Amino acid sequence: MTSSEKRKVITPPRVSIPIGPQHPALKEPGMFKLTVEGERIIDAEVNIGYNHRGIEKLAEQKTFTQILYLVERICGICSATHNGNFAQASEFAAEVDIPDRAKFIRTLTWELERIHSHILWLGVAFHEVGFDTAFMYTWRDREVVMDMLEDLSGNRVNYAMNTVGGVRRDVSDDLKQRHLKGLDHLEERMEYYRDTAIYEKTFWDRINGVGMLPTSVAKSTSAVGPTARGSNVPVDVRFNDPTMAYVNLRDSGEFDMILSDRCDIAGRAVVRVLETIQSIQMCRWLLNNLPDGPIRERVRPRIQPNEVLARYEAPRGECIHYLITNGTDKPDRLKIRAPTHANWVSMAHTLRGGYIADAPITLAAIDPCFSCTDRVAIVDSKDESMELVTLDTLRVRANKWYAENPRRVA
Amino acid sequence: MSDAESEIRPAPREDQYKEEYALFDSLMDELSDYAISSESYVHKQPRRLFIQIKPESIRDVVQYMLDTYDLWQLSTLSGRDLGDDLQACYHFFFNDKKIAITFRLNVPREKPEYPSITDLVPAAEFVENEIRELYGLVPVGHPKPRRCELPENWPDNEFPLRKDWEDPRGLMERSKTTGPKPKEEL
Repeated sequence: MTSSEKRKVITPPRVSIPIGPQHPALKEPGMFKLTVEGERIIDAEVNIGYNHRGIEKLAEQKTFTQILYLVERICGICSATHNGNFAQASEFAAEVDIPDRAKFIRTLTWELERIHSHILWLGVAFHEVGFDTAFMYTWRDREVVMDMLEDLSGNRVNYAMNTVGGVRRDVSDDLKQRHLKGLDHLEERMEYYRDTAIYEKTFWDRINGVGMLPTSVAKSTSAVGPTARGSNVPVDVRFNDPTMAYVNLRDSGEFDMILSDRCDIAGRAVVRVLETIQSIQMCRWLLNNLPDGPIRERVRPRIQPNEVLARYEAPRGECIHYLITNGTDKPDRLKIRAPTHANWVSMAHTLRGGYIADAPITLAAIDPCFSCTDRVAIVDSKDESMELVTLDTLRVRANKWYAENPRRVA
Repeated sequence: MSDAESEIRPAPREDQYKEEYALFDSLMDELSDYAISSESYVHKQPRRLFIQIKPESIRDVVQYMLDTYDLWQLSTLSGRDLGDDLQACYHFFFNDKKIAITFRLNVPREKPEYPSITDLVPAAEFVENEIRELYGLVPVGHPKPRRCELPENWPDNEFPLRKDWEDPRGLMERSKTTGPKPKEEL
């Protein structure tokens, strides 16, 4: 036995651990510098900017119709978000009221996208805590909604459903029946995943009380989306500032904002799962109440001088397009604030005080989307000078390299 | 056609905009020392206020709005190049009345400085850094000034979102729209 007098108390040294920009626990480039003491995270710093592509600058040189397809490529998961939000921003600027049927179909695309995005997040959350069976189950059922989106728009990602003045494809009766059938299947599965997430101890114990974000901090850091609603902050553009068919959905009185006062990752998970089920019900309501009429209104390509602030609740939170038009067919300024960008400040708070092993799920809990945040890519050359390599140059260089290094056949 | 005045599209004083005008009138009354009333208006789009303020008074305005109205949600900060002036727009959302309020301030291009509000509203940390590197608008007194969007070796005196940024290294000329470069130059 060792004598107690000689016992030494060892304070673990403070170590700084970088996670990213390239890291197995992160699927996209972002850098989180964690200062740890033993296993506790003392401080966290978020560093972004690895995926900036200059879309705002590029948008000033393109026409409104071209920008629709440009902003769609900001993010593959929430492409209908940017596409639809820019379309509604242009319509507000032109002061055009689009047909009701177009509003309903646009909202239907948005809600289907929310279902697929939330199921995707649920799968990633299961994966981050090591529950890979549920990850594969959820992603299998996500295929149902992906197929529905393909049925509706023709594409699995980058739906290109919206145009300035309406939507590009109509919903036929057959399609409506197929969608109602698909929604029934999805609702049944989502209720099963809701019970899995809440009653499965291996999952619940990993997220219960982890990554705390108190209501006051969520407010002062202006968190958005399910991150804020999981901390009992009532921010949801669909109910606070409704546009398109959300006005009808709100007036129907059947839907309420989903909040949780748990303030931890479990709260955010519960909000997302319940929102998915609510979105399924919203889609069914939209399909059953789809008005007749045309699906698009003609809008002149030149839009009068105006400034609009278009807001929409993307799956990850509030998405803002601040558009200034000047009477030509190109905008004077387009500012895009995608939802993840608003959640970085609160992210540092959720990491502090947690365990290093919980960092991956805490990072995943805001559903980070790095393309949401950055927009200019520069390729650095070896010396300090900068160089932007175009696609053509790359192609020529690649051809040259392959010509010099012919592929060896075994 | 593209002068700043013509963008202002105020809403008519009708029943539809009753709540917006009620808030707007009380704000213009309370912030009369800081606001420039000729460029502040209620927009035709529902639930949108635009208020032009004097650049040095941004901290007073934000502090007043926090104390009186609990205006906690800062959505974003966007910059704009107006030629002689640079503009910063702080987009807030007022959750109690469900109205978006934008505070705009113009600063001269020669000395684009105004007080930072990051210590009052922590959410402004990233966006104020972003506007500094993309527009060269300097929020004075920012607690953590650092690079966040552009690469570390980007020159200090180049602000890519300004209208007169003329692409010093000829990066954009090589883009696909103007045709690929001849093979021998690559």
